[in-house]
Amino acid sequence: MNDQYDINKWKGLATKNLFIGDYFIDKKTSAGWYLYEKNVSTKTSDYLLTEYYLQHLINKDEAIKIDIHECASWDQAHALLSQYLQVHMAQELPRTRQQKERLGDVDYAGFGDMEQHILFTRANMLVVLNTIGHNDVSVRAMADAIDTDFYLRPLQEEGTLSAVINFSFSINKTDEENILELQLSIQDNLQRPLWYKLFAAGGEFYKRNDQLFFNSPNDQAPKISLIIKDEYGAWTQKNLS
Amino acid sequence: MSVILKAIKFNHDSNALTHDAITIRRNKTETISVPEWIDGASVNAEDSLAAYAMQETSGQTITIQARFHLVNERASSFEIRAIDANKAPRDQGGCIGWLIKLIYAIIQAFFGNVLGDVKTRVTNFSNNDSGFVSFDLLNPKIWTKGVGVYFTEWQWQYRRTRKQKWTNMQMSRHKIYVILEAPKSSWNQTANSDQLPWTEVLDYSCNWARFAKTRDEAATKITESVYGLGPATFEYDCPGGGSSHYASWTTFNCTKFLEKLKGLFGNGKYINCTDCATIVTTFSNVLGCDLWSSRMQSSFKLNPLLAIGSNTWQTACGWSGFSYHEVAWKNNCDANDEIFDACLQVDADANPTGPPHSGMLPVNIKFGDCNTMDYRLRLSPGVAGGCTNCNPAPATRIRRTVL
Repeated sequence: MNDQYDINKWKGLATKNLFIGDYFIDKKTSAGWYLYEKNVSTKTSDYLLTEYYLQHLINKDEAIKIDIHECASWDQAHALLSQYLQVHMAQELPRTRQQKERLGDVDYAGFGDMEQHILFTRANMLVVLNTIGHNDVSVRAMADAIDTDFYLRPLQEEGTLSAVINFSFSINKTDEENILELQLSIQDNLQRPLWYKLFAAGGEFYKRNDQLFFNSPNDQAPKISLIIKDEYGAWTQKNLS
Repeated sequence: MSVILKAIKFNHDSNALTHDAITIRRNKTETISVPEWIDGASVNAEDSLAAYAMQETSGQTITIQARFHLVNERASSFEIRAIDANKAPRDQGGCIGWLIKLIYAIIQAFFGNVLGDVKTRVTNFSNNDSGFVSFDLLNPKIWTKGVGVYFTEWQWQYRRTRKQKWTNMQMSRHKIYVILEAPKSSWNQTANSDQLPWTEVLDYSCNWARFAKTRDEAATKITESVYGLGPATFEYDCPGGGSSHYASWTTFNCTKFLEKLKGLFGNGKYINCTDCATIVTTFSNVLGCDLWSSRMQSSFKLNPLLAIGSNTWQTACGWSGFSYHEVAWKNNCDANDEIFDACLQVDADANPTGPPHSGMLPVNIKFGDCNTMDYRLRLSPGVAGGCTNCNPAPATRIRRTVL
């Protein structure tokens, strides 16, 4: 097995105070591409995999496949990334090319000038992108767009989506010190799909047996922000402190 | 008055494959129902599919079941049979006649009827319906022709008594797959399973391994055909670091692989050794071969090789080595067992570490050790970090579930 990758070094890179749930690639993120197939796999104990097949709207011989793994925690995403790297025959993959913004928490790419194959984690998410068309294409722009979707916090307090969202949120103490149980329910009045991300000033989010928890860095009430997005990229933000 | 053929069952006993067809489906989502031929619904051979296992049916009488209706007929008993509708053309003599005979012989050899004729039997009717009646096949050629995809066109005939001439009823057309023996895992013969042999896979396997009569022969032809898919359809995944695109840890996305073979995108043109090993294993085992996909590991140096889709002799993609390699493997997937590698050609000459290179696709070659010039030493040089790191890992052997 491939032991070139030091998973312990990745720990310090993880965005632990971010948790992403029910994620899907919205129309804004996939602008310029036609989604011709989407497969949501059966949820395993470790992650939920969604496969996206996209064809370029103009250059129709270009296509990309995006595998999005929604894991229960950042360290589970790292463990899954490690498994993926072990099914590469190359002894060690390079990191993605350095650009203005670093991609993800942990990132690897294939070889060559064009980044046709990228794997990256951000918080509890693992994303694998590949060119699959008759003509090769870089998947970097799409990787950046998805990562931006993951980590970017809107500057304004309130977006345009709030009017149609029903949501409830509660924070409960547990028997474990500084571990808080988070109850979150989000629903669109028109039954449209929604995804969310939770930010905290510090601490660590994770799921255990499908229950969301927050490991608070101190005993003070945590400051948590919830951002909800719809399939068109419209969003709303709630402060849950 | 007339007798009408209503339906034909080839797989009339789903619990056995010694005297009838095996249980198959079209693909992951589409099943094949029995009876396979239905009057009015089955027009072309593609509408009536059946597959037979050479080994299990060998020496057995193969039977089909057919059902008939009577229209405006008082008699309650008829002799019924079916004959090959594509009998050899009459000899016209001369060059043209010879040429016609040659073309006919070639077509028959490649695609011709393997089921022979349907033996005459007396069929009794009640309320104008025969129910399903068993017929023996006469002179089937399943065991002599070997693996393949064949086409049968039967002219069905009836007569009231032996003294009467035969009267034609309908013709029935069928596409017949011949495989070596019962498919091996992950394929099965479990009713309603999506791992029943897919005819969309048999379309390729039976053509790739055409005329094979043994497991080794079939696996060799499959391996050669998969390697031959490069560079037009597939190439080794240098840009992705040798990543798997069709095989995952426990599954094989055969649906996407078939899409790619048909010219669609599938999961793209890049494949790695795990993909190749899984394709060879899956497409061989559906014919009755008994292969596993298994690894050798880990992190070992390479001799120059010719990766699938490449025309350049080099260590794969110019990398110094492989983190692992995976091939289709026989028996226990250990040092003394033979492998089939559709991912790369090794150098077949006495010195595989350098030029000149004499390409050899590794088929049915012993994995071996670091002292003898078998597969192992041809793949990985006998230097530190080379052959001695390239160890068979039989614990990794797997037959991936087909998706």
